[in-house]
Amino acid sequence: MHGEIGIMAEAYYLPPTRKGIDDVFGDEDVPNDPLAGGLDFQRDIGIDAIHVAGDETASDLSVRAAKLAVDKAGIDASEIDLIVGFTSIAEDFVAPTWSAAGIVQRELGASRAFVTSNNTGGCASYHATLSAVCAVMASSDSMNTALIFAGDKAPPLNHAYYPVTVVCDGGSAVILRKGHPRRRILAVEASTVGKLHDVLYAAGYPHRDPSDPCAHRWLHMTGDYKRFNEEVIPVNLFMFRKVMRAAMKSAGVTQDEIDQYIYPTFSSWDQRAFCEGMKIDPSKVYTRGLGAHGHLQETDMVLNHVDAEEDGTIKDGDLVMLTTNGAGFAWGATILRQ
Amino acid sequence: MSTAGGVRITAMACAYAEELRPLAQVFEDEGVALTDDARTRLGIDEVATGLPSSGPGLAMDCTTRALEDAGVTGKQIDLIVDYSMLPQHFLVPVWNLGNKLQHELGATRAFTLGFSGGGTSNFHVALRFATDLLSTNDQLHTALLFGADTAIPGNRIINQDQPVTVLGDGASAMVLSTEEEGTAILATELISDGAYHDVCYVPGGALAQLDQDDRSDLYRLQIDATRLAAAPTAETLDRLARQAAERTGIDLGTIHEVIVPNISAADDAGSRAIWNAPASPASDANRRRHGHVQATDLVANLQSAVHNGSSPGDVLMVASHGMGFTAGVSLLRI
Repeated sequence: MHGEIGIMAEAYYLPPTRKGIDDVFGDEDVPNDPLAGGLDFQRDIGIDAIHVAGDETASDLSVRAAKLAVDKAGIDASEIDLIVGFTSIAEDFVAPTWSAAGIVQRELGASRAFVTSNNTGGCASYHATLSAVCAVMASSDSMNTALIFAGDKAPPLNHAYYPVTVVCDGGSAVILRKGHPRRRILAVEASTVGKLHDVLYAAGYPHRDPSDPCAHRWLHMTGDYKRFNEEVIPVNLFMFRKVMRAAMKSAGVTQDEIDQYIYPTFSSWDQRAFCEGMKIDPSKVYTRGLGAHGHLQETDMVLNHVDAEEDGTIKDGDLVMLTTNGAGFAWGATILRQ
Repeated sequence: MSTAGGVRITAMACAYAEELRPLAQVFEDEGVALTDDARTRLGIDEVATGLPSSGPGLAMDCTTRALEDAGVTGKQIDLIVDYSMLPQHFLVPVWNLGNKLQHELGATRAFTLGFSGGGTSNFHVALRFATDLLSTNDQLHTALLFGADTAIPGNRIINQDQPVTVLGDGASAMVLSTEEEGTAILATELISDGAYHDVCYVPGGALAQLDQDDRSDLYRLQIDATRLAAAPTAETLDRLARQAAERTGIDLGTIHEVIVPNISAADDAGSRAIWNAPASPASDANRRRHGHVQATDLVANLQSAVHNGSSPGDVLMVASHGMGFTAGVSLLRI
């Protein structure tokens, strides 16, 4: 259904300040409990450093990435018909009352667009948003160019998501255009398992504990890691298979035909588990940036795709599968023809 | 945008917090003097009030009834879309009520979406995305749209110096289907102006409050009434209505009823004046009884219009200015 829509340009922005992983672990309250299989979270995660935003706001990160994408596309922002945010962690102001899409629209001068943000899907919000945006574009003669964006700035002392990953600050943006011949979107699938809605969450201001010495814990990602291990892990690969197979069926392709997978940069052991569980050659799963920046939430899909193109791993004509999971819990898969 | 796929609204339901608190009592609760002028401009007699934690229960109530009316089971839902406007039980977008509803309704094959930033116009945003997803994907047949909004404690009277609205607590749901029965969604037009992104928002409770953790006064919905008054809301809504009419070939003069949110009597009159539309006694009654319940107003007023005085074939126009930021107009045929 989406075969006429292509990714015209995509870009990411990483704030220049870097923080070594040892400093992250030194600053934050990260448990030392060993993980299954004798893994040590701090020793084995495979992340060397992350980028931190400092004085830049989450909206700043979105705007910078959006401007880079518009420049790469070589379009005027006034050509954009639709702008949709897909940020999945705490923003500058409270959602769903507010959306950073307004700031992005204003700063770009995208005067004819309607703008909103999708607020579901966690790191898989890329797929849920892409699916919705492609549907709107496919339904309307007047919706030809869309921008989707994200900007993630972790709250202070909340870069380590023990025992899952360490998160990096940054933003990303994608320009979609009807009729664009490159990076054609062949299929997008998303699926949600609502019973896991409260395995990972941020409590929010009404739930703050004034006596908590960590002043901003109400903004922190809070995990029930017993349930994560007992309820998320057992269904994780099943759900990946479900959305990936559905996407392949929709696109009319087989797993053997997929040239490259774009997968999130959570941790070294997560990447191994995905490749082993899905029986995919690790050389076909692009996670090269794990060490350099760690996990960028939903932006992983964009960043890793951009890097895989730029370093020549993905070539024109390749069939590419972008797939991830996300808090909520959600899974998504997208198939592109480069 | 013409939704030629033939998506229809097959059921709607609303649920309100049980206590109907007199307007004067709400003003007394928040220490605000209720003037005759404010009472007249608001056109609100009572406000549906509950606990902030009542949102999920209200959402479950109305979604369950809407599904029953539509004859749809949870397992048949392909898509759940949230059009809530106010903060939820946990922080959005990390968490969303739609996922909890998915679980409680047994909607195991669905995926969830939710939209932020449009105020009451989140309704139109949800309607458009859901309609287009159902129209373009032959694997998707049934969508459940919902909104659940409960006021922040002590934050019902918005813009206390010169009250713009008074917030009630409630929820609403709509079932959309590709079936042939129901109210047809003919078109939804939307436009945004990012310059107004912070005319109506909560300044605290997120990253911008990091340095002012103890400022609970920032965790309140506020409206910049001066900027709202300067926003070209009437011109924008009229333009969208004309676009929708042009795309669908419908003469705006034949619109059976205009449906707007229950922000206030003054706002209602101002919106209707754009199209010289007559007042709606049913909408007036909904506003007087519950106060402003975000997009649930539109569903309640739409239900009233469908069940009172409309006939098959009548065209209804649903319009909201989204406090200057995102305006939406939808045309529906009964």
